[in-house]
This record gives sequence, structure tokens and C-alpha cells, in this order.
Amino acid sequence: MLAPWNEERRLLAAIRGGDRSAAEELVERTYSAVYASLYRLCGDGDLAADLTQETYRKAWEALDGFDARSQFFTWLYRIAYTTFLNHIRRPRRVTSLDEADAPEMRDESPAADQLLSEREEGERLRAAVMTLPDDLRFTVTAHFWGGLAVKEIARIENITTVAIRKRLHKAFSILESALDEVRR
Amino acid sequence: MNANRKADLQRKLALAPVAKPPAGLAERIKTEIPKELRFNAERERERFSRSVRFSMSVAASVIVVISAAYVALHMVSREPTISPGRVRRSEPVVQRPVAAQVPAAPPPAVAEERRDLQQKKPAKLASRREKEKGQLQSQPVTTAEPQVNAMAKVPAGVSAVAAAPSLAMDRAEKVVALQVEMTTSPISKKAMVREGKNVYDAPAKTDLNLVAWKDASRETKIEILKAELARGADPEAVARAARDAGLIEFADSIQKQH
Repeated sequence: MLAPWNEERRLLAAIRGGDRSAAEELVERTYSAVYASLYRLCGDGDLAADLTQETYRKAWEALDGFDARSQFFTWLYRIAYTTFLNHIRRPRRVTSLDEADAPEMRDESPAADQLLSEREEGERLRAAVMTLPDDLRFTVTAHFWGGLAVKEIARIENITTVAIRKRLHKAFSILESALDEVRR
Repeated sequence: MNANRKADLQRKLALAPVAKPPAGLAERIKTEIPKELRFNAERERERFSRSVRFSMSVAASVIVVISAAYVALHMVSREPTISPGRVRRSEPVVQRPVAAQVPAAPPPAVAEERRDLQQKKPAKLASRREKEKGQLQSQPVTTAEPQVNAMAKVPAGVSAVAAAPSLAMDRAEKVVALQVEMTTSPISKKAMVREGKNVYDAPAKTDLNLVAWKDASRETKIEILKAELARGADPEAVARAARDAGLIEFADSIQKQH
């Protein structure tokens, strides 16, 4: 899915040298992960696709500023997450997190009841994640939905891995309480 | 929160549905790749040179501040040494060798001063002198020369033990004599008294003898000229007077200062 470190550096160097095909290769290697992360964040396939496009648009504009301290995907995920936040903060296009109609999920669960139950639970969990404080929400979504390692998140957030683990622990506590309340 | 609940929550989060991107999304993204991906070298260079310029200006400012502080400190510390300190150091005190060269006969002016001072020196000093004289007389003297002349001239035959108190007295008197002196200032034409480092106008009634300017000691001349300068006398006139008095270095320092 993601370009290995050296391969990524080679592609970035080529892009900076003006190689368009290298940029296309980088897109090919990363766009699925970006889309999946955004889908998990917003729960809407079309919206996730739009946000993915917007994410890459912003990335090309900001590519000069990428200092390669973190992996390219980590940097890209940050842009995707900010793009998502900007989207939900826009007054006219707010996506309701309490929507009754859950997004279509390509889950291959055999039983309809089980599917419904899991879908509902997944939606509840997503809604609970979205209620987390911003730093905790970013950490949880980057780690579980973006697939970023704790070390990478720590690097991009400029904090220690211990602090990231504390954030995760705190987020779990909040999520547990939130889910318990929903169950009652 | 127990470990099971935590693990369950982690599993649920990790098992969130993985959506596949819609067909054509990659193509849509690729079409939006800008045609010119190359770095703007001019902009980069400009940014770099701006940051270098800023760093250089900060460094230059720091150097200027430090240099200014150093020069200011140097000037401040140099200021007081130019006038009295340097003059005092550069001009050797004439009287010291005189005290050391005891065998030489005192010049008449000094002898005169000594006599005057002897009259008005404190009773303690006089009594001490008398005591010492008594001691000298009681000690066996190996020469027939009278002790009265001992302070003017130490004969070769006199023992060092016998001569020492007289030499000490001589030195003490000399110091006292040279620390208090009254003379006429060539600048203000007034009679002035120099007492150590203090200079003041001579009182109407005084026991001090007025010494002619040309006969006044070097220290007295310097202190009086300094006092004149402090009172606002023309530095040129003071420098000229100093030069006439043979105080060349002092005159030079005045001219440098003013």
C-alpha cells in the first residue's frame, strides 16, 4: 500500500525534479489509504472521494514545505485530517454525526442481523470518536483508521510516544463512557 | 477500565469497515497534478538569502553592541588614569631618593623647612625625638664627631645601629616637610597651601613659610596646578606654567585632555 522509505524518497526527489510520472506513482501508492481514512472519518463514500481529491490538491501546493522528517503518508494523512475538519466545520455542509442513515459499508458479513448490529455499533463508535477532544480524536483516528504507528504520530505531533500512548488511554476511557451511555 | 474492555474497544476501532475507493478516483487525482511540479528555484534562493541576510544582520548587531560596550568600558576605565594617576605614576617622586641618600647634606631650603616644621610639629614627635637623642647619647659612640650633625651627614665611622634612629627621623621629617608646603600659584597669583593631596588658599595668619614657586616641590607644583585646573583655570595657561616648571609630562597630559 505505502511506498517503502527509500522508494518514497526516490519518488519525492523525482517529483521535485519535475517528474510527473513519479507523482502519479505516488498517488497510485497512497490514494487508497487516504480514501479509507477519510471514509472512516466521515462515513460517506462520495464525500470521502471528494475530500481525497482535495487532500492531494493541497498536498501538491504544500509539497515545497514537506521536510521529509516524517513519512510522506503521515504528512498526507495530516492534510487529509485537516481537510476533513475544515469540511465538518463549514456551516452549510455539516455532516450530521447522528444521522439515522448509516453510510453504505462494503462489509461482507453473512447474517443480515449481525450486519445491521455491527453497522450500528460501528456508527456509534464513529460518532463517539468524533466527540473526542481534537488531540485525542486525531490520535485515535490516525492510529486506528489511518494506520499510522505511534512513533509516526508522535513525530508529526512533536511529542513523545509516551504522550501519544497516554492520549490513547484517555481516549479509550472517554469512548467507553460514551458507548456505555448510548447502550443505556 | 479493564484490559478486556480496552482490547474490545481497540478491536472495534481496528475493525472499522475498510472502504474501497470508487473507480476513477485515482485518475481524477492524477489529472489534478500540477503541470509544473519543479521547485521555484528563484523563490527558494530568495527565501534562503533572506534568512542568511537576517542572520548576518543579527550577528552584526551583536558584534556592534559588544564592541560599543567594550570601547565605552575602556574609555571609562581610562579616564581617571590620565589625569592624576598617570601623572603620579609617570613622574617619579623626587623626595624618595633624597630620604635614601642620607649621607648627602640637605639643601638650605629643605633645612630651613625642617627647622620651621620642627618648631610646630606635634609634641609627641618632639618628645620622641628627644627620647631618641637621649638614647643616642647614652649609647657608646665610636667617633668624636658630634651627633647633632648625624642627620645631615653620617660619618663612615658611625655604627649602623647608632645611625638608624636618626635616619628614620630624618625620613619622617622629610615626608612631613614635603607634604605641607605654601607657595604662590603662578596662575591665580595667590598663596596656596598643599597638604598631601589637599590644596587650599593660604589663611591670613599662618606659621608656614611661603616658598617661592620655583623652589616649591614637584608634588606641590602638580597639586596646585591641578587645583587651579579644577577651579576652572585656562588649561593652556596651566600647561604653560607646568612646562615652565619642568613638568613636561604633566603639561602634555593637560594638553591631551583639553
